[in-house]
Amino acid sequence: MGYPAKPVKFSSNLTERPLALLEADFSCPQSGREKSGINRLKDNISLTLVEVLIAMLILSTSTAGVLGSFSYAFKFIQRAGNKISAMNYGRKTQDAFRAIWLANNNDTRLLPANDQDAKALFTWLAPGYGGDIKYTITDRSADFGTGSNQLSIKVTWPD
Amino acid sequence: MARLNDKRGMSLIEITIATMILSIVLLAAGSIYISSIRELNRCMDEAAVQKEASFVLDHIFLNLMGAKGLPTFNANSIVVTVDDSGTDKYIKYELSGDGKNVNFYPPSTTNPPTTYEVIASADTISLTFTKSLLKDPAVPNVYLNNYVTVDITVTRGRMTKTFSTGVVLRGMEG
Repeated sequence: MGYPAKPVKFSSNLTERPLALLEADFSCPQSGREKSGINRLKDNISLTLVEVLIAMLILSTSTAGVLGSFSYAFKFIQRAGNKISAMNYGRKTQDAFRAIWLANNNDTRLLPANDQDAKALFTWLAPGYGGDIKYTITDRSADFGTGSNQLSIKVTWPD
Repeated sequence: MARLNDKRGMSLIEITIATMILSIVLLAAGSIYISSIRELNRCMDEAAVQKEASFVLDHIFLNLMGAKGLPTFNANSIVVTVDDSGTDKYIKYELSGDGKNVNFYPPSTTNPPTTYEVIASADTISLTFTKSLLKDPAVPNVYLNNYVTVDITVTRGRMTKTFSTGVVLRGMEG
Protein backbone atom coordinates (compact mmCIF):
# COMPACT_ATOMS: atom_id res chain seq x y z
CA MET A 1 0.00 0.00 0.00
CA GLY A 2 3.05 2.34 -0.06
CA TYR A 3 3.87 2.44 3.67
CA PRO A 4 6.73 -0.02 4.01
CA ALA A 5 8.82 1.77 6.68
CA LYS A 6 6.20 2.91 9.13
CA PRO A 7 5.16 -0.39 10.77
CA VAL A 8 8.79 -1.17 11.69
CA LYS A 9 9.31 2.03 13.63
CA PHE A 10 5.94 1.70 15.31
CA SER A 11 6.59 -1.83 16.42
CA SER A 12 9.93 -0.90 17.97
CA ASN A 13 8.21 1.71 20.10
CA LEU A 14 5.70 -0.80 21.23
CA THR A 15 8.22 -3.45 22.20
CA GLU A 16 10.51 -1.14 24.22
CA ARG A 17 8.05 -0.12 26.90
CA PRO A 18 6.48 -3.50 27.73
CA LEU A 19 9.97 -4.97 28.02
CA ALA A 20 11.01 -2.34 30.52
CA LEU A 21 7.91 -2.91 32.59
CA LEU A 22 8.36 -6.66 32.53
CA GLU A 23 11.98 -6.25 33.63
CA ALA A 24 10.98 -4.17 36.58
CA ASP A 25 8.31 -6.59 37.67
CA PHE A 26 10.51 -9.64 37.53
CA SER A 27 13.69 -8.15 39.00
CA CYS A 28 12.10 -7.59 42.40
CA PRO A 29 9.44 -9.93 43.70
CA GLN A 30 8.26 -7.48 46.41
CA SER A 31 5.21 -5.34 45.89
CA GLY A 32 5.62 -1.56 45.40
CA ARG A 33 4.46 -0.81 48.95
CA GLU A 34 7.20 -2.93 50.51
CA LYS A 35 10.16 -1.64 48.48
CA SER A 36 12.88 0.54 49.95
CA GLY A 37 13.38 4.18 48.92
CA ILE A 38 16.16 3.57 46.41
CA ASN A 39 14.25 0.79 44.66
CA ARG A 40 11.23 3.04 44.50
CA LEU A 41 13.22 5.70 42.73
CA LYS A 42 14.49 3.15 40.23
CA ASP A 43 11.00 1.84 39.65
CA ASN A 44 9.51 5.31 39.44
CA ILE A 45 7.04 4.66 42.30
CA SER A 46 6.15 7.75 44.32
CA LEU A 47 5.21 8.12 48.01
CA THR A 48 1.65 7.62 49.13
CA LEU A 49 -0.37 10.44 50.70
CA VAL A 50 -0.11 8.85 54.15
CA GLU A 51 3.67 8.63 53.84
CA VAL A 52 3.93 12.26 52.75
CA LEU A 53 1.72 13.31 55.65
CA ILE A 54 3.82 11.34 58.14
CA ALA A 55 7.01 12.88 56.72
CA MET A 56 5.50 16.36 57.00
CA LEU A 57 4.42 15.65 60.57
CA ILE A 58 7.92 14.52 61.52
CA LEU A 59 9.47 17.54 59.81
CA SER A 60 7.10 20.03 61.41
CA THR A 61 7.53 18.43 64.85
CA SER A 62 11.31 18.65 64.65
CA THR A 63 11.13 22.25 63.40
CA ALA A 64 8.80 23.19 66.23
CA GLY A 65 11.20 21.49 68.62
CA VAL A 66 14.17 23.52 67.40
CA LEU A 67 12.29 26.82 67.59
CA GLY A 68 10.75 25.85 70.93
CA SER A 69 14.15 25.11 72.42
CA PHE A 70 15.37 28.59 71.47
CA SER A 71 12.26 30.13 72.92
CA TYR A 72 12.64 28.14 76.13
CA ALA A 73 16.31 29.15 76.39
CA PHE A 74 15.27 32.79 76.12
CA LYS A 75 12.64 32.35 78.82
CA PHE A 76 15.19 30.55 80.99
CA ILE A 77 17.68 33.42 80.66
CA GLN A 78 14.95 35.95 81.43
CA ARG A 79 14.04 34.06 84.59
CA ALA A 80 17.69 34.03 85.62
CA GLY A 81 17.76 37.81 85.08
CA ASN A 82 14.66 38.26 87.22
CA LYS A 83 16.30 36.25 89.95
CA ILE A 84 19.45 38.40 89.83
CA SER A 85 17.26 41.48 89.94
CA ALA A 86 15.37 40.17 92.97
CA MET A 87 18.61 39.29 94.73
CA ASN A 88 19.91 42.84 94.18
CA TYR A 89 16.71 44.33 95.57
CA GLY A 90 17.06 42.08 98.61
CA ARG A 91 20.63 43.23 99.10
CA LYS A 92 19.59 46.84 98.64
CA THR A 93 16.89 46.53 101.30
CA GLN A 94 19.14 44.71 103.71
CA ASP A 95 21.86 47.32 103.40
CA ALA A 96 19.32 50.11 103.88
CA PHE A 97 18.39 48.64 107.26
CA ARG A 98 22.07 48.16 108.05
CA ALA A 99 22.77 51.82 107.25
CA ILE A 100 19.95 52.92 109.56
CA TRP A 101 21.24 50.63 112.29
CA LEU A 102 24.79 51.98 111.94
CA ALA A 103 23.51 55.56 112.13
CA ASN A 104 20.99 55.11 114.95
CA ASN A 105 20.10 51.75 116.40
CA ASN A 106 17.05 53.25 118.11
CA ASP A 107 15.50 54.32 114.82
CA THR A 108 11.78 53.57 114.68
CA ARG A 109 12.24 51.80 111.34
CA LEU A 110 14.10 49.05 113.19
CA LEU A 111 11.20 48.13 115.48
CA PRO A 112 9.93 44.54 115.26
CA ALA A 113 7.59 44.05 112.32
CA ASN A 114 6.06 41.08 110.59
CA ASP A 115 5.98 40.70 106.81
CA GLN A 116 5.82 44.43 106.10
CA ASP A 117 6.10 46.03 102.69
CA ALA A 118 9.60 47.43 102.23
CA LYS A 119 8.55 49.30 99.10
CA ALA A 120 6.10 51.29 101.21
CA LEU A 121 8.73 52.03 103.88
CA PHE A 122 11.35 53.08 101.31
CA THR A 123 9.49 54.55 98.34
CA TRP A 124 12.70 54.95 96.34
CA LEU A 125 13.64 51.29 96.79
CA ALA A 126 12.17 49.67 93.69
CA PRO A 127 9.84 51.94 91.77
CA GLY A 128 7.98 50.00 89.10
CA TYR A 129 9.19 46.61 90.31
CA GLY A 130 6.57 43.92 89.72
CA GLY A 131 7.47 41.64 92.63
CA ASP A 132 7.03 42.08 96.38
CA ILE A 133 9.74 43.06 98.85
CA LYS A 134 8.73 42.15 102.39
CA TYR A 135 10.70 42.45 105.59
CA THR A 136 10.37 40.94 109.02
CA ILE A 137 12.20 42.17 112.10
CA THR A 138 12.15 39.71 114.98
CA ASP A 139 13.16 40.43 118.55
CA ARG A 140 15.99 38.01 119.40
CA SER A 141 16.86 39.46 122.82
CA ALA A 142 16.32 36.08 124.45
CA ASP A 143 18.97 34.46 122.25
CA PHE A 144 21.56 37.20 121.69
CA GLY A 145 21.09 39.74 124.48
CA THR A 146 18.97 42.82 125.04
CA GLY A 147 18.17 44.84 121.91
CA SER A 148 19.14 42.10 119.46
CA ASN A 149 16.94 41.94 116.38
CA GLN A 150 16.97 39.72 113.34
CA LEU A 151 16.11 41.04 109.91
CA SER A 152 14.66 38.84 107.17
CA ILE A 153 14.00 40.03 103.64
CA LYS A 154 11.75 38.15 101.26
CA VAL A 155 11.68 39.16 97.61
CA THR A 156 9.39 37.64 95.03
CA TRP A 157 9.89 38.16 91.33
CA PRO A 158 7.59 37.96 88.33
CA ASP A 159 7.91 34.68 86.46
CA MET B 1 12.97 8.92 35.33
CA ALA B 2 11.23 7.30 32.45
CA ARG B 3 10.91 10.67 30.81
CA LEU B 4 14.66 11.21 31.11
CA ASN B 5 15.34 7.87 29.46
CA ASP B 6 13.14 8.53 26.47
CA LYS B 7 14.75 11.97 26.11
CA ARG B 8 11.50 13.85 26.23
CA GLY B 9 11.41 17.15 28.10
CA MET B 10 9.05 18.24 30.87
CA SER B 11 6.00 20.25 30.10
CA LEU B 12 5.66 23.90 31.11
CA ILE B 13 3.02 23.00 33.69
CA GLU B 14 5.28 20.39 35.28
CA ILE B 15 8.18 22.83 35.47
CA THR B 16 5.92 25.52 36.94
CA ILE B 17 4.56 23.16 39.58
CA ALA B 18 8.06 21.90 40.41
CA THR B 19 9.33 25.48 40.73
CA MET B 20 6.40 26.39 42.96
CA ILE B 21 6.98 23.43 45.24
CA LEU B 22 10.70 24.17 45.38
CA SER B 23 10.12 27.83 46.19
CA ILE B 24 7.65 26.94 48.97
CA VAL B 25 10.13 24.48 50.46
CA LEU B 26 12.98 27.00 50.20
CA LEU B 27 10.82 29.74 51.69
CA ALA B 28 9.87 27.54 54.64
CA ALA B 29 13.46 26.45 55.22
CA GLY B 30 14.70 30.03 54.94
CA SER B 31 12.15 31.38 57.38
CA ILE B 32 12.96 28.64 59.88
CA TYR B 33 16.65 29.45 59.56
CA ILE B 34 16.06 33.20 59.98
CA SER B 35 13.78 32.66 62.98
CA SER B 36 16.37 30.42 64.62
CA ILE B 37 19.15 32.94 64.11
CA ARG B 38 16.97 35.77 65.41
CA GLU B 39 15.99 33.79 68.50
CA LEU B 40 19.61 32.82 69.13
CA ASN B 41 20.72 36.45 68.88
CA ARG B 42 17.97 37.48 71.28
CA CYS B 43 19.18 34.88 73.79
CA MET B 44 22.78 35.98 73.43
CA ASP B 45 21.93 39.68 73.82
CA GLU B 46 19.82 39.01 76.89
CA ALA B 47 22.57 36.91 78.47
CA ALA B 48 25.20 39.53 77.60
CA VAL B 49 23.32 42.47 79.14
CA GLN B 50 22.63 40.46 82.29
CA LYS B 51 26.26 39.48 82.58
CA GLU B 52 27.53 43.03 82.12
CA ALA B 53 25.00 44.61 84.49
CA SER B 54 25.34 42.07 87.28
CA PHE B 55 29.14 42.07 87.03
CA VAL B 56 29.29 45.86 87.39
CA LEU B 57 26.88 45.85 90.32
CA ASP B 58 28.81 43.13 92.15
CA HIS B 59 32.10 44.91 91.45
CA ILE B 60 30.83 48.21 92.83
CA PHE B 61 29.04 46.60 95.78
CA LEU B 62 32.09 44.67 96.96
CA ASN B 63 34.50 47.60 96.61
CA LEU B 64 32.20 50.18 98.15
CA MET B 65 31.37 47.90 101.04
CA GLY B 66 34.80 48.38 102.59
CA ALA B 67 35.01 52.12 101.92
CA LYS B 68 35.77 54.50 104.77
CA GLY B 69 35.29 57.81 102.98
CA LEU B 70 33.43 59.37 100.10
CA PRO B 71 35.53 62.30 98.82
CA THR B 72 33.69 62.66 95.48
CA PHE B 73 30.08 61.85 94.80
CA ASN B 74 28.33 62.61 91.50
CA ALA B 75 25.43 61.08 89.62
CA ASN B 76 27.73 59.24 87.18
CA SER B 77 31.00 58.92 89.10
CA ILE B 78 32.12 58.14 92.59
CA VAL B 79 35.45 58.17 94.43
CA VAL B 80 35.80 56.33 97.72
CA THR B 81 38.63 55.94 100.19
CA VAL B 82 39.69 52.44 101.13
CA ASP B 83 42.25 51.13 103.54
CA ASP B 84 45.00 49.22 101.77
CA SER B 85 47.34 47.66 104.38
CA GLY B 86 47.28 50.76 106.56
CA THR B 87 47.46 53.25 103.67
CA ASP B 88 44.52 55.26 102.41
CA LYS B 89 43.90 54.72 98.72
CA TYR B 90 41.25 55.91 96.30
CA ILE B 91 38.97 53.92 94.08
CA LYS B 92 36.86 55.47 91.38
CA TYR B 93 33.96 54.31 89.22
CA GLU B 94 32.61 56.33 86.36
CA LEU B 95 30.46 56.10 83.29
CA SER B 96 32.50 56.96 80.19
CA GLY B 97 31.67 60.16 78.34
CA ASP B 98 30.11 58.33 75.39
CA GLY B 99 27.87 56.29 77.72
CA LYS B 100 29.15 52.96 76.43
CA ASN B 101 31.62 51.84 79.14
CA VAL B 102 31.96 51.63 82.89
CA ASN B 103 35.49 52.56 83.97
CA PHE B 104 37.09 51.33 87.17
CA TYR B 105 40.13 53.06 88.65
CA PRO B 106 41.98 50.56 90.90
CA PRO B 107 43.31 51.67 94.31
CA SER B 108 45.71 54.57 93.97
CA THR B 109 47.30 57.06 96.34
CA THR B 110 46.38 59.98 94.07
CA ASN B 111 42.97 61.56 94.29
CA PRO B 112 41.32 61.19 91.88
CA PRO B 113 43.05 58.13 90.44
CA THR B 114 44.19 58.48 86.84
CA THR B 115 44.59 55.00 85.35
CA TYR B 116 41.54 52.96 84.67
CA GLU B 117 40.27 49.76 83.14
CA VAL B 118 36.99 49.16 81.39
CA ILE B 119 34.92 46.65 83.34
CA ALA B 120 31.82 46.70 81.13
CA SER B 121 30.85 47.86 77.70
CA ALA B 122 27.65 47.74 75.68
CA ASP B 123 25.73 49.72 73.07
CA THR B 124 24.56 52.09 75.79
CA ILE B 125 24.99 52.06 79.56
CA SER B 126 23.37 54.25 82.16
CA LEU B 127 25.02 54.25 85.60
CA THR B 128 23.60 56.37 88.41
CA PHE B 129 24.69 56.82 92.00
CA THR B 130 22.25 58.36 94.48
CA LYS B 131 21.83 58.90 98.19
CA SER B 132 18.20 58.07 98.85
CA LEU B 133 17.92 56.93 102.44
CA LEU B 134 16.56 59.60 104.79
CA LYS B 135 18.50 59.98 108.01
CA ASP B 136 15.25 60.56 109.85
CA PRO B 137 11.93 59.76 108.18
CA ALA B 138 10.41 62.84 109.80
CA VAL B 139 13.04 65.19 108.34
CA PRO B 140 12.95 65.55 104.54
CA ASN B 141 15.98 65.96 102.27
CA VAL B 142 18.57 64.92 104.83
CA TYR B 143 20.12 61.69 103.63
CA LEU B 144 22.42 59.16 105.23
CA ASN B 145 25.96 59.64 103.97
CA ASN B 146 27.04 56.03 104.17
CA TYR B 147 24.33 54.49 102.01
CA VAL B 148 24.60 54.69 98.23
CA THR B 149 22.18 53.26 95.69
CA VAL B 150 23.50 52.15 92.33
CA ASP B 151 21.28 51.81 89.26
CA ILE B 152 22.54 50.42 86.00
CA THR B 153 20.78 49.99 82.66
CA VAL B 154 22.58 48.13 79.91
CA THR B 155 21.37 48.01 76.31
CA ARG B 156 22.70 45.69 73.68
CA GLY B 157 20.89 45.14 70.41
CA ARG B 158 17.19 45.07 71.20
CA MET B 159 17.76 43.99 74.80
CA THR B 160 17.74 46.32 77.78
CA LYS B 161 18.19 45.27 81.38
CA THR B 162 18.06 47.38 84.53
CA PHE B 163 19.45 46.31 87.87
CA SER B 164 19.53 48.26 91.09
CA THR B 165 21.28 47.75 94.39
CA GLY B 166 22.32 49.65 97.47
CA VAL B 167 25.40 49.43 99.64
CA VAL B 168 26.48 50.65 103.05
CA LEU B 169 29.97 52.06 103.15
CA ARG B 170 30.73 50.21 106.33
CA GLY B 171 33.75 52.23 107.37
CA MET B 172 31.82 55.51 107.34
CA GLU B 173 29.64 57.31 109.82
CA GLY B 174 26.04 57.87 108.80
